[in-house]
Amino acid sequence: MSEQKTIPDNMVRIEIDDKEMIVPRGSMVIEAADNNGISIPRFCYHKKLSIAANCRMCMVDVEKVPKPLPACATPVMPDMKVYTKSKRAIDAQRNVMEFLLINHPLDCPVCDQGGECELQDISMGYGRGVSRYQDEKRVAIDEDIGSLISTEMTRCITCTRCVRFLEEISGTDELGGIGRGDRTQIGTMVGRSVDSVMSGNVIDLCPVGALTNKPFRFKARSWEMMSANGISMHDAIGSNLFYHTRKGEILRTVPRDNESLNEAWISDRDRFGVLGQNGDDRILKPMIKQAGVWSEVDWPKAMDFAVKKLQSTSGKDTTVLTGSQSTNEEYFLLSKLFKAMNCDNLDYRLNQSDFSQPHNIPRVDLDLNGVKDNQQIVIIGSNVNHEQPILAHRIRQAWLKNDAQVSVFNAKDYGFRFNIFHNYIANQIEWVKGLGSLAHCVADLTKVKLTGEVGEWIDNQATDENLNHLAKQLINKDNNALFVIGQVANNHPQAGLIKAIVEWLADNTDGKVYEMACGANSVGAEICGVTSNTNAADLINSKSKSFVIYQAENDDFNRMQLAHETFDKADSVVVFSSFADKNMKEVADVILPIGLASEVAGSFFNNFLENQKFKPAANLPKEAKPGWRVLRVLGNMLNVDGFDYDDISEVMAEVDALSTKRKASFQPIEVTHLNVDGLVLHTETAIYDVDMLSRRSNALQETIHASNDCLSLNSSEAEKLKLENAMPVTLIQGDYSVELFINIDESIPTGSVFANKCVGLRSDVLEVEVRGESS
Amino acid sequence: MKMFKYLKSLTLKELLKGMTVTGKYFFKRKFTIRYPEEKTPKSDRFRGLHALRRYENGEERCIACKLCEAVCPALAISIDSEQREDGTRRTTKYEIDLFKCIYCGFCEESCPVDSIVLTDIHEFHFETEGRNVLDKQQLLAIGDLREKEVAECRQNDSEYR
Ligand code: SF4
Ligand code: SF4
Ligand code: SF4
Ligand code: FES
Repeated sequence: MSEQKTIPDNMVRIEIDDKEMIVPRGSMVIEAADNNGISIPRFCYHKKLSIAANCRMCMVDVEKVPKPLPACATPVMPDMKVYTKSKRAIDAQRNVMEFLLINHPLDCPVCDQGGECELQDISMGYGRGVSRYQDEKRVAIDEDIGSLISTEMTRCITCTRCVRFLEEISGTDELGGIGRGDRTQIGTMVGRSVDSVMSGNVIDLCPVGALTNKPFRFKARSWEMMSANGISMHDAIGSNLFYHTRKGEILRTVPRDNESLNEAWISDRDRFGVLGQNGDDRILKPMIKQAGVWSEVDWPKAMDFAVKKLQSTSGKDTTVLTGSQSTNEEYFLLSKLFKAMNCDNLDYRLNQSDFSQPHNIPRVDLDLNGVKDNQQIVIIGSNVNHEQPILAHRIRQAWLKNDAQVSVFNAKDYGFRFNIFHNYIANQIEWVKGLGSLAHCVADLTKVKLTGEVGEWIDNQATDENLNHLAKQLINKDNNALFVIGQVANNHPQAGLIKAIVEWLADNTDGKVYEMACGANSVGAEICGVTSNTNAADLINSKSKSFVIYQAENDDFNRMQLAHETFDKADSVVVFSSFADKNMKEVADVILPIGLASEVAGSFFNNFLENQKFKPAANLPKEAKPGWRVLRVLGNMLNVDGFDYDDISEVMAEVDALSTKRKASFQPIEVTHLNVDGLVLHTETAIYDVDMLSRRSNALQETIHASNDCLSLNSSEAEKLKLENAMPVTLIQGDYSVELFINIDESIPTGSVFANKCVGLRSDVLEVEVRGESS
Repeated sequence: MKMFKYLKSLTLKELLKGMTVTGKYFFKRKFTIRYPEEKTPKSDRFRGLHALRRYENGEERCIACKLCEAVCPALAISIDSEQREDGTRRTTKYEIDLFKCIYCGFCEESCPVDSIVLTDIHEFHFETEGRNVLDKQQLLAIGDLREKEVAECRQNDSEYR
């Protein structure tokens, strides 16, 4: 009895199967059992979703209760005694199982879920073994819900996990149940596709084979595959993954639980992006170009060729440009090698255009779990749902569970799945001014003024009622404020100004900043020293004689055409890459095939400066080699000291020793004034265009989020210009022009036009002209 | 003593004794058959060369469930599969390595659609390297060739299964 006194108020003592445990008051029996290693069969319960209690598989026997109760919906009571293996519990479980199988087809061998199916497992463990049901079974119609998820709705047991996921986590409400009882059917109802950028998670959630992975369909059985740990290659959240491989090839990706990052989810880009690994233009053998003709050669020959090319110019005349999808070790060796050769022309910020803030590690003042503690969240220049879907989910949870108020400054209304407190949608020039107005309001309220040009600029922005309201909330000491800066801001021609304002705002409102890093490992590139005193924009505009391009391609650059021309004019272009498209082959002299991050050992820094290490998951295709090995050999061939590594762990140790400290934050900058008469262009990289891999993933490219050749503008603008939907037009940006089709889209603010960047646009020239066919 | 020995060999006693045995067997019923002209009968359950069967309409039975691949104790079977145009799962590669196979018949037992079977063919040899691996086309061809016998054996044995 004395023991009971020591139980804290918020805990209760219960017994499950005679095992005593102290569990939090208000938790459910199933949670208590799960945390104490007692297994209770279940279909509809999922620890991250709300409780539906509609499958009835989790029946347990509770002492002094006349009927079995569902463990997932029965809260624990003090001194409750639960039996999961008593006759009554077992009978209940077995009967539920029999009912579930009445309408479920019994043809596991043709089902893609066979071997990893919860229904199969549980019916083996708790079912009857024979089927007594003789009548006709229910049949459900399959819908085509897109290129990622395959449906076989006859197998559905209406657990509604998928429905709850799309409602609660993704917020898109794209699936629902219609009908009653055994006639219930799960579907979109209106025959559209499921377009959530996290939709793939319903594949893992579905306990049966009703929703399965479409690109993976029928490729392998679960028992044939090996599982390897991996880290996301597409965004800087660094989601933890499992790659499932067969014969050394990655066939699919599933999430690996990590409470502090991705919880139990991953975005579709992380799930299906890696399928780009088999792109047609994968380089399988070293290639050199002699007299304009490409030939495949062996490694020693290619290396000799590359060394000769590199030696023909001095380090000072060499420029090194990298993408943001390589490992820390590669970045480290690359920078070590070229810095030893006196090269000070390295950069990874290929897509950026304003470099007025110097090289720095992105500022992130909190971890993902901290997002929910902010009452005021301001999203600045970001399609957060596409840039870091997991962050968007966390912001949504903050709004949903903790009533956070989310405000937005953007050039397009992205239709976020949370309510917006202050929605400042204006063209690329105006929204920055809006941010300036907000800063002006905050300055007025706090009586703290920013000095210098930025301060002056802020002072010149008009204040307004709405922004003043927001400013009051932000400076309220009871509210934690969080400022999220995304890629639209990062690639904005006034990026430096935006960041300066945001940092000042955050510091002045006791707020926090979350600056999204571009790509998967740009943080690693920064820390490992792919930096210099110049910047990517100047470098591709320079007269460098020799270029080294590491795991990057034309589409990664802000100024694609210029990059192409510059490389074309250069004396030598040495390319380290997994892929080489037509453009790259036109300009390169030697292409050394290196492995993707999923095929090599290495590590990534995520946005929160966590250094996550991984081992190779897949085999390198044909003659491709890990990038760090190629660099190591190159180091030796170029007689650079300190390149005698035997093992990657030695490089990793050196990376571990690097400082991850951010440089002093605020940098006084000169303000670039933007002035455009007429339409202002807003262009950004589409969600599945962010890197080489996602561009090559066919499954992703077939979704509605893939880039297109549309020029979007709202109906009032279209009317003014006498343009109609689907009309072909020419968009002229400087001396570049491209043919596009009009798409009337009310999410574009007046005075603005929107197009995907991959059509050849650059984000730093906002002035464009639209010419209709006739004129 | 030596005398007896001489007598024995002079009367050819040993030889006659031996010849009696020979003579006895000469007239007894014979076990040897004149293989390959003559053959012994085989059990319906005989486990010989593998075959993949088809349905009567010519559709291959195998649904690429890979149960046979999983159950095979000798890892003799290897299968690749993909979705066929009509949405069903089919093998793109189905190979059995006859050097690895121990003719246990587990594959046949595990098959949910009676696709892989062990026929009564036991006379085969390989002359060139690599012929020991039967591919899908060969296995289907054997199935086509022997469908009647295979079906008959399964029918005869069905009572006892
Ligand atoms: S489709 Fe799957 S997850 Fe959705 S309700 Fe049916 S069984 Fe549950
Ligand atoms: S008979 Fe036995 S050893 Fe031979 S393939 Fe079948 S399962 Fe494998
Ligand atoms: S032969 Fe039978 S067991 Fe083997 S994969 Fe085909 S259907 Fe499955
Ligand atoms: S898991 Fe409890 S009712 Fe479904």
